[in-house]
This record gives sequence, structure tokens and C-alpha cells, in this order.
Amino acid sequence: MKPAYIKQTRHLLLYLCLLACSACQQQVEEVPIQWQQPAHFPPPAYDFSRNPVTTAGFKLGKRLFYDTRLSRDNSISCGSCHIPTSAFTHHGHDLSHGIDDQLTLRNAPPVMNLAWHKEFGWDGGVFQLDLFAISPIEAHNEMDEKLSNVLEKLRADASYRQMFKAAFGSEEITTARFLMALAQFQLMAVSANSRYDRYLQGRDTLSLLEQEGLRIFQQKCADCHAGVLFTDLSYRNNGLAPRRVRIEGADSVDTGRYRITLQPSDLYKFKVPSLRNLRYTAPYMHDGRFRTLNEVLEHYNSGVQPSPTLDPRLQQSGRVGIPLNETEKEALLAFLETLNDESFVRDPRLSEF
Amino acid sequence: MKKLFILSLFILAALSACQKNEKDEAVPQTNGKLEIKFDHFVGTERFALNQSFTNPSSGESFTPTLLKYFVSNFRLIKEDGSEYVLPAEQNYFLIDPTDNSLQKIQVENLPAGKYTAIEFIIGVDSLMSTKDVSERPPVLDPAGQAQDMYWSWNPGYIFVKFEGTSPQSSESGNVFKYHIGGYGGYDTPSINCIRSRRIEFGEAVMVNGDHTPSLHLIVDVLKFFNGSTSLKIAEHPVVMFNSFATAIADNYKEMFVLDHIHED
Repeated sequence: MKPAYIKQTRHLLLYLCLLACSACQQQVEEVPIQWQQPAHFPPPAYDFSRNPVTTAGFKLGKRLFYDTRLSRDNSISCGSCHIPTSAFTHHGHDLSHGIDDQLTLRNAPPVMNLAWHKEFGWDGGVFQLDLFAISPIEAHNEMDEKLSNVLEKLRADASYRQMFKAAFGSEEITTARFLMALAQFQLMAVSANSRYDRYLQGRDTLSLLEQEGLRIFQQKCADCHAGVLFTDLSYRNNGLAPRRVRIEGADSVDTGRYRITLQPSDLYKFKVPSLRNLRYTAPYMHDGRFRTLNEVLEHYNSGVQPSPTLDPRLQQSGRVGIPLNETEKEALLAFLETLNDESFVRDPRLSEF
Repeated sequence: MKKLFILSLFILAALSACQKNEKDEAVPQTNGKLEIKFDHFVGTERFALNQSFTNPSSGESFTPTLLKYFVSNFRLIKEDGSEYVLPAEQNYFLIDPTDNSLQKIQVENLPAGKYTAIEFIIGVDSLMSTKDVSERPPVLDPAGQAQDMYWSWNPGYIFVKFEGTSPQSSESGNVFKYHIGGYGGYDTPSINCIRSRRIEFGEAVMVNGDHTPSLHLIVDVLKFFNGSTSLKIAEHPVVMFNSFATAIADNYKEMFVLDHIHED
């Protein structure tokens, strides 16, 4: 027979454990998910009145985002190519890989600040965030699944039916609900807490080099990489020489925005990407052809190819490109570093595990 | 003066009574139905999948393996020029010549009257093409009936999908594929393959409660190839979202002609 105090201690330990566990659980459950407008950002483009972000809707969207059942052979999820610690890009891949290791057409763009976008993807073909998910799900070289099959797989899972009920009031799993839940998750991916953001709000300072970089940036880059989003959301040809790619099994070139509008004036135009979180999103450009930011800056300095749709800003005062000397580049790179948002890529609400 | 006033009241009363009588004497005006049937042909032969046909104009032969299309925005035009438009959520239809349930449109609750024409769209209008998914009818659900009739990367419906094989096709497997769509572009103008078709009845067709006329349309697939543009499989074995698609849309509009009307 063991002494009574040992028994008591055991009980106490057990009790403490239980208490700790339940405290944990409570903590996780009690943080309600809310979409918050950063004070220094413009109003969002997304119509939240149509699809307000709720805790249950977000949780469902998050599960869907990381669920491999969205792909034909249950092998890849949205998160496979949009990795949160890489600011939701496919780290290290120039063109992202889809199912069966097939190459896709372009570099996976970040799922970031999409609430302020009106069109989605490098060519802006998808005009509503909700609609976006169907594209990677059904693309043969991405997830190669039928949306109807995805919904069938989810309907067969009681836990999903419960989550749809929690999010939308009934167990019914419809196209619209599925897409809205995924949109809710994506909308929560807001990056607005870099050092530069804090500097704008008067909560942080920039070094002299970073300030010099900011000055050069405003002078030479901010026309296109505009405002706090660091993109004016327009489509531009930045003078990258077109490369041969495979489209639907055929040898072709990626014509960018032209694929959507069929306007010759849109040939080789791609959406101006944000410059936030570049530390995590290499390689760069729509086809990930540059591994470093140095290469990117050198492209603007000396690599811009003239063509009929080249952006007018890249052919001023009788030369193509943007002249940048080594001192300017160093300052620019220092400034760009201030746009990295560690709290965004480490946000536990957004991460898979 | 007072007498005159009373008299005029009396006349007015009499007149309105007259009008009422006239109405009462007419046939009871109850909503009716109208059926619209789509019969598919290749020239004079019945359309069928996996059967070889020859286009006499081009000499090309082709074996269809798939044909599906959307028709929508039906409006019925009355003798007096007034129109009845079907309720928006019930005004989109997928037609599939291999599925018996998808070759017929039943217009319910059609106001009684004499109708002389119908007008409809081949395709899906831009308004519905860009609506919230939650507000679209089931026939346009990309995970439902509209599966395989939807472009997700450039969201919009494939209005007409026509596939098959032809010895004249240079594609691997001798396939031809026509996926025609495009509602005009979301914010930048792009191709528009929406085509409107008006079918005159040539007579007034009575719609009334117990009277369900049936409209038989012939859809001649040859006209897909032979129209204002002569589409040759050898030259264009695959046409999807590109500017040539609008010429095909001009052609497919002419596929629909009235054969006859069953007056019930």
C-alpha cells in the first residue's frame, strides 16, 4: 500500500494536467476570428457583407485550404504550393508543381492581402476571390480534380458536414458555401505589420540607408508598386523576354493578360506583384526566373527587352529600363527588407499545424 | 344641369358595364404552358454521336463525340408586341442531344394569349456569368450540370461544346474540339459569343390553360460549319477562347430554325 500523500500528489498532478489541457482548449476556442481593417490601409475591395468572416467559416476554410482531398489523388492541397512560412508561395520553385509533379504555367503568387484585389492571378482572369479556387482544383497540371468530386468527398465526411453546419447553418455542402469558406480563410491572410508599416504608424524608425532606399523607391518604383499594397493592381509588361512554355501540352509562350482579354495591347502583361515579404517568396517574377532580388534589380537596370507593349515607364528619356547604380541598389534592397512581415508568415491562425 | 350630370353618370355606368361584359364573354384567360423541343440533325440525317457524317459543302467528314450547349433568356412575343420573359432563375437550359431529358424546355405559367415569336440567347448572358455563385441557378453550378461547360481560369461558361474526330484534323487522334464561349469580358472588352435568335411562328399560337402548344425547332449541326464563315476542320481543328470563336458563334446562331408547331 502506497502512502496516502503519494496518492494525493498523483491526484493533484492529474488534476493539474486536466486543468492545463482544458485551459489550452479554451484558449484556442475562445479567440474569435475577425477580419480587421489595418488603420493605414485603404478600404478593402472584397464585399464582406456578402460573405462575412466568421470563426466557424474561417476554420472550415482553413481545413479546406490544407486538405489534400481537393486534388484528384488526394496528394496535394492549396497549402502545398501556397506555404504560409513562404508567405503562401511555393518556396524555391520557379514554376510551381502540381499533381504527378507536373509543372504549372507560372510561379505561385502569394495568398496575401487579397481583400484589396479586384482580380486574381498573374493575368487577373478571375474576377472574384470566391471563384478562384475552382481554377487550381480543375487545372490538369495543378490538382486535376472535378469540383463536383471534391464536394462528394466532403459530403461523405461527417465532420465536414458538421463544420458546414457551424459555418452556414445547415449540413448542406454546396459550391457557393465551399468557395465562400475558402475565401474566408484567404481573406484573413493580411500582411500589414512589417517594420515599414510600423514606421508609417510612427511606431518604428528606418535607418539612414533604409530611408535612402525609400527615397529611391518612391522616385523609381512606386508608380507601379504603389501604396501600402506595393502594387497598383494593374497589368504591365516589364520587359522580360518571353520564354517558351507548355500550355495544354503544346509548345507555346505565356502571353499573360492577353490570354484573358485577347487584346493585342495586353500581350505579355502580368499583374504588378506586391513587394511585401520578398524575403520569403523567392524566386521572383511570373515565371520565377530570378532567384535573387539582385537579379531583379539588374533586370530593371540592364535587362529590359523592348517590345510593342513594354510599359511606357520603362522607356523614358530615350532608354529602356530604370537606371540603378550599385549604391542605389544597396539602398533599395535595404528598404525592401523593411517590408518583410515576420508576424504574417508565423501567424498561428494561418499555419497548417 | 343636375339632370345632365345624372345622365352622364348613367351613360358612364352603362359604358363600363359594356366593357365588363365584353371581358366576361371572352374565353377564360388562364396561364398555360408551352413546350420547346430541340431536334438535332446533320443536314437531313438525324444527329447521333459516334456516327460519321459528311459536310457536302467542304467534303469533310466528321464523327461527333460530344455536343452540348446552353440556351437562355427566353422571351415570348405576343401578337400585340408585348413580351413575356421567363423568370430569371428558370431561364437557363443545358441542351444535350444524347440526353432525352435535356432536349425539351417546358415553359410553365405562361400568361394566356396569342404568341407570334420567341427569342432566346445561345449562351449565358454577361450578368449571370458574373453573378455570385450563390445566386446562380443549379443548371449553371460549376460542380453540377455546368461541369465541363465552365472555364475556371477565365471564369465563364462554355456556350457550345462540340467535339469529335475527323480524318481532316491534323491534331493527334484526329480530334476536333470547339469550345465556344466568352460573354464580352469582365472589365476589359473581350470576345463576345452570345448570340440572340428570334424564331417567328408565322401564325399566332394560342396559349391558354388547357392548351399546350409544342414548338419543334430543328438544330442543323451542318450550319455550325457552313455559315457566313466556312469552318473547315482541316484549318481549325481546335477553337477555344480565341477571336475566331466569334465567327463560329455567328454560324451556330443559324442552326436553330422552326420546323413545325403542334397546336396541342
